[in-house]
Amino acid sequence: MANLDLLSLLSSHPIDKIVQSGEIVINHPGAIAESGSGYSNFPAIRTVQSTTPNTYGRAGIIRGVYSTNGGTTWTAIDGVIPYTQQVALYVDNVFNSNIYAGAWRSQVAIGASDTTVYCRAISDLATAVFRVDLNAPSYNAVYSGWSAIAQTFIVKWWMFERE
Amino acid sequence: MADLTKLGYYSQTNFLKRDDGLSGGTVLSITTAQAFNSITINHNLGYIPFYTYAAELSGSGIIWSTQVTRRNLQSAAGSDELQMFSYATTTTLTLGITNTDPPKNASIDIYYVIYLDYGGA
Repeated sequence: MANLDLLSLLSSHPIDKIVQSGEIVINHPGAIAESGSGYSNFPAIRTVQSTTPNTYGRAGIIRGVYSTNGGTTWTAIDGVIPYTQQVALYVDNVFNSNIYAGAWRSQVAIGASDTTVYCRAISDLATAVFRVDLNAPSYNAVYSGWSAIAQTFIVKWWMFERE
Repeated sequence: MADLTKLGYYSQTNFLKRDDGLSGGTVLSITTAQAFNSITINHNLGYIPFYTYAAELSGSGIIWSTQVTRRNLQSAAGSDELQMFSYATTTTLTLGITNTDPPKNASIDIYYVIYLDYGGA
């Protein structure tokens, strides 16, 4: 009996050949407090990197998907999920207005060198409602009332030859 | 017993085929800071094809496969002050990078694969 598993593909065109695949889990703590010129305690984007050996030995192109809810839903590897922050603006300790800012709930970057596969989870997820104070004389922006929100990124990836 | 479902493969239509002439790598020269540097590849397929685009953004030997790494600026993991972009027409594929720094990145190795048979009108 012929073994059909041994049938080889013969095509006039090359196709993607998967040379390595895997799953990377990254525990992301959420937004990181950042201070700079004119502002302090700003909930900024934090990037957490995880690596795994490239066992194929040559950098390829990677496809993938990621989930931040335990695998219930999956997002394309290029997908960015935003969210909105509501920031109460106080000037000299008097409420002025609410402002709304777009923020980064989740994003993934993935790539490979000849030796290593790199995966980065990117997020500034934090309490969606917080406060910023602009007080004389400096009118520096001082953010308060927010807490970082952690997420677990699950990244499934497949690497194929780039040429 | 042989598994005949393995014969369900019909190579003429049902997979994304590469064309060696429409895939590979090239060097993107960075000439203008904080602007859009790009190259255009003529594919002339007559439809908007599926494609993949990757780039060695920071010269560190890492080929990034996602078109978004700009959001690493406040990162302890390192800063990639670059962002990839791409778009296709029925005849061309444009691959580019923005937010670039010519003295730092005079040229960037980029890689792409254009697939045949499937795509938009």
